[in-house]
Amino acid sequence: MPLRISTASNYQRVLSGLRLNLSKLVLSQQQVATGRRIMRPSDDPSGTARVLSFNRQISGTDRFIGAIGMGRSVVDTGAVALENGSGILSDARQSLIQGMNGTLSSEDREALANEIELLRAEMLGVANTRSGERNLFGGTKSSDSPWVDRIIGGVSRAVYTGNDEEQRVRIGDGVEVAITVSGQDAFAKNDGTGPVFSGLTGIGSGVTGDEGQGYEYLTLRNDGTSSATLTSSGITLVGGGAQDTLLGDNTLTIDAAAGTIQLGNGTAIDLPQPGAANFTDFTVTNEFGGDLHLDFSAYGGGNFTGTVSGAGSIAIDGTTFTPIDFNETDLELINPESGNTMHFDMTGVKRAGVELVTFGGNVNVFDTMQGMVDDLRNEDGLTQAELTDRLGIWLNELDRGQDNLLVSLGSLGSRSERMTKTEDKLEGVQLQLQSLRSEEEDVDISEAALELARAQQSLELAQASGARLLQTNLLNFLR
Amino acid sequence: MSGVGVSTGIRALLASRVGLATVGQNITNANTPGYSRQSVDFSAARPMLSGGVLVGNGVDVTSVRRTVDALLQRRLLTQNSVQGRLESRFTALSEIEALMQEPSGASLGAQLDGFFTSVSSLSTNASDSILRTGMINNAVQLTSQFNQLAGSLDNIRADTSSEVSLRVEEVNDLAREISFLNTEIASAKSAGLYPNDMQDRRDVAISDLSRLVDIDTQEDKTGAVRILVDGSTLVSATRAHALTSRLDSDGEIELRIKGAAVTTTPSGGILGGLIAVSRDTIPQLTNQLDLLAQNIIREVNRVHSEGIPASGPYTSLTGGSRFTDTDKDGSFRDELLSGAGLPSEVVSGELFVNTTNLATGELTKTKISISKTHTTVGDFLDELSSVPNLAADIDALGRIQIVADAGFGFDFGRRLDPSPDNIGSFGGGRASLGTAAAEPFALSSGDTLTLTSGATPINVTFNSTDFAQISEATAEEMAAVINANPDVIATGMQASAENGRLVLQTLGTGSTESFDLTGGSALGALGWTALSGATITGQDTSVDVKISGSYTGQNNDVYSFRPTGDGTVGATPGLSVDVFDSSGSRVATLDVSDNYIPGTDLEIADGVTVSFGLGDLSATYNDGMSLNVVNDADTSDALIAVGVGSFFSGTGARDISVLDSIQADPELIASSLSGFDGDNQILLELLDLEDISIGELGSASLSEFYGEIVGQTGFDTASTTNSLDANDALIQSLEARQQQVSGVNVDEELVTLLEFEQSFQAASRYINVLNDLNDELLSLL
Repeated sequence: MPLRISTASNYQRVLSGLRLNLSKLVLSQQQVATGRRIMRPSDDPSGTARVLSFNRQISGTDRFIGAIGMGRSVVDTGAVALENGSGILSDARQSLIQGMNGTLSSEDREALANEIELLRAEMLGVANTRSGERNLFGGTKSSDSPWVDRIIGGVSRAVYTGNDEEQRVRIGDGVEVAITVSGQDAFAKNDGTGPVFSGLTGIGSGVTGDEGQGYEYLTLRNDGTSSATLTSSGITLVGGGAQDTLLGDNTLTIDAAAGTIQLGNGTAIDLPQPGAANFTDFTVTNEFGGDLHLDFSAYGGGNFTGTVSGAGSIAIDGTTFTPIDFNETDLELINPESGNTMHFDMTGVKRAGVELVTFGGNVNVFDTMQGMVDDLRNEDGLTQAELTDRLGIWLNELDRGQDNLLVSLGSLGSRSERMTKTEDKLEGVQLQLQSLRSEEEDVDISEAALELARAQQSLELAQASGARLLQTNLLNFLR
Repeated sequence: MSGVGVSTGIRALLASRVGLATVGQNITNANTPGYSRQSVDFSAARPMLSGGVLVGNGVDVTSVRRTVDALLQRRLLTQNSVQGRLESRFTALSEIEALMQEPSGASLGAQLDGFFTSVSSLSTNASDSILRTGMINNAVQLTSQFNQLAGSLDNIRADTSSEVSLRVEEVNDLAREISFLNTEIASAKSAGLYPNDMQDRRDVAISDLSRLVDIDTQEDKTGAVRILVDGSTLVSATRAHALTSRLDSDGEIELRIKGAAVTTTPSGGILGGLIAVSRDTIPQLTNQLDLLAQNIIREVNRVHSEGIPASGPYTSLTGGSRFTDTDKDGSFRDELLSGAGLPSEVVSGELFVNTTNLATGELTKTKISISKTHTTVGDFLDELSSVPNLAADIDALGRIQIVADAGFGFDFGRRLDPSPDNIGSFGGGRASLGTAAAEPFALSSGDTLTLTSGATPINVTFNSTDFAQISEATAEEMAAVINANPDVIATGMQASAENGRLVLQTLGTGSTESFDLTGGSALGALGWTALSGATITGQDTSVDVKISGSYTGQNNDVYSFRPTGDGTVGATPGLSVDVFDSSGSRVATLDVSDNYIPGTDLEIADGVTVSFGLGDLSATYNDGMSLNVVNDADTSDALIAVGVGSFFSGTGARDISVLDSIQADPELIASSLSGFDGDNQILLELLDLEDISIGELGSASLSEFYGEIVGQTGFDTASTTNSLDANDALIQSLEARQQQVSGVNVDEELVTLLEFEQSFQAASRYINVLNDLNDELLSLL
């Protein structure tokens, strides 16, 4: 049976058809105009959820890229500073080698000392490098300059006031990179191997471990010489040993037949002859260079073998002297200004003088250079050979300092590289994410334009067909 | 005969007239909304007996009826209600969706993101003041967005209430109209008439009403229609009852029909939709937002409160939350800390407080125990005040205030105490004797301890009155008794409790300090029987213990350090130090023999390192010390509850904000874990917050939860749109079928018009013929 259609429902149908097509056309136009497929969450709820997730990932990646940018500039600034520092240490090394050359005059050495002093100041500047307001070599103490020059025991020592922590930035999920190296590691690494003596006086390391870093000058002096048996040979001490520098028990051997005299294991030298200028004040030296002054005026000739002992005392701070017990294997000396506590074996001490003892492998580069400067100025009246021994110690420390600095420099360099690699990878990921998000969120322009044309066509067809339908009327045909 | 014929004709004319009139009515009302087409019922008139046969008598008009399908009507009413409900729901949801400004825009999600990005930027240079200000700005933008969103949702809810009032008025107008029509129709029907047009009008009114609210209709025998809403009568056979709306005590909309015993809760129609939006949709969303805001506040504050500002430890802090005087006795102090009206929960746990001497950098770590069931606000304040150089009180507004003495600072960080041996009981300079085991000590009342210091004998007696339970004496109780003895004070000695062990010491340091353990009956309980008569001497060099590193373990713990023998650090062969955790298992054995260079760092475990300086250690005299290693400095969450060291304050989305003190002074951002200004560890931990799963959020992370909120709104809106479209289509098809039955087709009416025109013409022709026949008859006369 054919459907019965009322006039009103006729109109209704045509209207609703037109409305539907118009709204489709409007939607198409909106999409083309905004370029977006999803304009509100309800347009595609699960698509929106994916877009939000992409947004989160993209901004996360952005953050890492930003952090890499900021962090890497700090790393690079640090690397440049350390490169400078390495150059300074090389220059200092050259000057030091020159200083070890035996033919230099004291003016020449003074000139070298001045040079190295300037280099030390420059080095301190490098160690206190800042990037903006932030100190690069102070650990996580970034506001105050980490390396401070202090006068300790009358000597300039550089003290580290920073800490050993690293400043880190996050460059990936759970991935962090340190953008600073600790000033301790770069300039003052503790490779502690034990105390190192210049070997001047024969003093050795005690039993108990030492505490501290840097170096100390030990002053040993002779407080008087004595010998129980010397007078039997007719030889006497000069001035009671006032000028003597020998310490400890030394065996004095006179071989009358060979005409030699030998102190300890020193060189056997010819006996002085009467009438010689040094007959009344003859110096014989032991293997360490400790002197014994003898007066041969009453020498009766003949052999002699006996013990000559030099009593002495030792000071670590140059002023407080403790008498030396030559049987002591573990003498504890504390320098209150530097806080260093050291233990010494006195049994091998044979000579007075100023002994340089360093905490081997635990002297920072600034103290090393200060030591070089002080020794080149040769304030302790050393011979060239003895000076060279001292400078040799500094050379070892300097080389060790250079190695450590280069290790820090290398780690900064590899971090910078790693950050660059990560950045490249992240940027690639970023592009991918952005294109995935665009696929989800944006409309394909060609598709949308097609859809727009189609919607327009539908609307026009609906309009045309609607007009046809509505104009059909019986009244047209009734007379 | 003539009467018969003519009356038939006249009857026919009249019938046609009625038919034509009805056609006219239909045509003119073809587009009147709600008009149902009327049709005339004809029946043959009663035949007359004429000449022994029954002869027809013409046509009768029985009735003019309207054509309506009642079942269809009912279905349309139901779907109208559904439409009304969906439409009001859709309007509200679209508005809410527009507020969210996703997927791209200045949305809450974008601000949350911006906040974490600013944290990340600051983490690359923790002491940069511009980046700090940037972080505060982004945080303020985030909180403003929360406040705005919550405020806008409140506004929408208020608007919904206003609209409900308007619609209720509309309902009442329609109810009155229906009631009036009921009366009219009933009286017409009782007179036997068909009040078609009034019935149409009433149908329109009922249809409009069904759009506003879902109704049940019942037509009774008199033709009146009773209308019920949610079981209560709105329109009875005789009158209309008024519907009223008001806000109840919870701010919810309440509808009630006057005279009804219960409230009316429509589930459909526009009113039903509005009420559902106001009661369910918006509160659900505000709850979600509140949950998100609360968790942001809590988790950020949890991390932030354990940090230290780049400018150094705090000198004073005021809490962000206020205590409530729940028992209204005028004082806050007697309230339980967990029951003082704080915005988050306090549980049983421990809180570590660090006090720092700002000049020397010396750190003291104090542990406070908090019990959910026993600790009152007063207890908490007293414990804080008993921390050296710290005082805590409540200010005029009911907030906690913590102040450090001049020259001191405090914080709640978990950094390790670099010098944990406060009393020098581990190779210190003092003459020191400790117990081997920790408390409890099995003393009996009257037990004695005899010491000799210099020449002075010291006799200490332990009475049960000094102890809670003397057979289980604690080290603290014993130390208190010993320290109260006047001889002890006079000779310069002291007793202390060290991690549950009792330690006796001289106050002075150096190798000249000494005391003798002469005897006493308490020696057995203390484990000192073998040491009776011993002389304990101090030393000139004290072992300098330095702790460094950061604890990476999962749980708070206490490490105890005990030497394995007697000797000198760095000199005695075979000397080592054992480290035990609080359960008694050995964590590490550290070699401090002659192989060890004093001052070198040794690793214990979990990132903690220690170095020992020169000095003597004694296992015979039970040297020992303890170190608190902290993973969570506030396991009781008390700091978050009182709002101390917080970054955000507030109870939900409406009032979340950044602490005023931090906004005023960005340097108070607690970015550092160790206290050094270049340390960004706290900021890195804040970054982690974006992705950790949070139990209260259903194990989603903050950004995932936000995505769920947006997604849910989108799904709801989309599904409402789909339902609307589907319902629309259904209504359209129902209406089409209704039109099929009741609609006027003009072409049809024109045909009917022709029909009646011709029948009218035929009838008049018939009358003409009859007249002619009559005339012929008459002409015969």
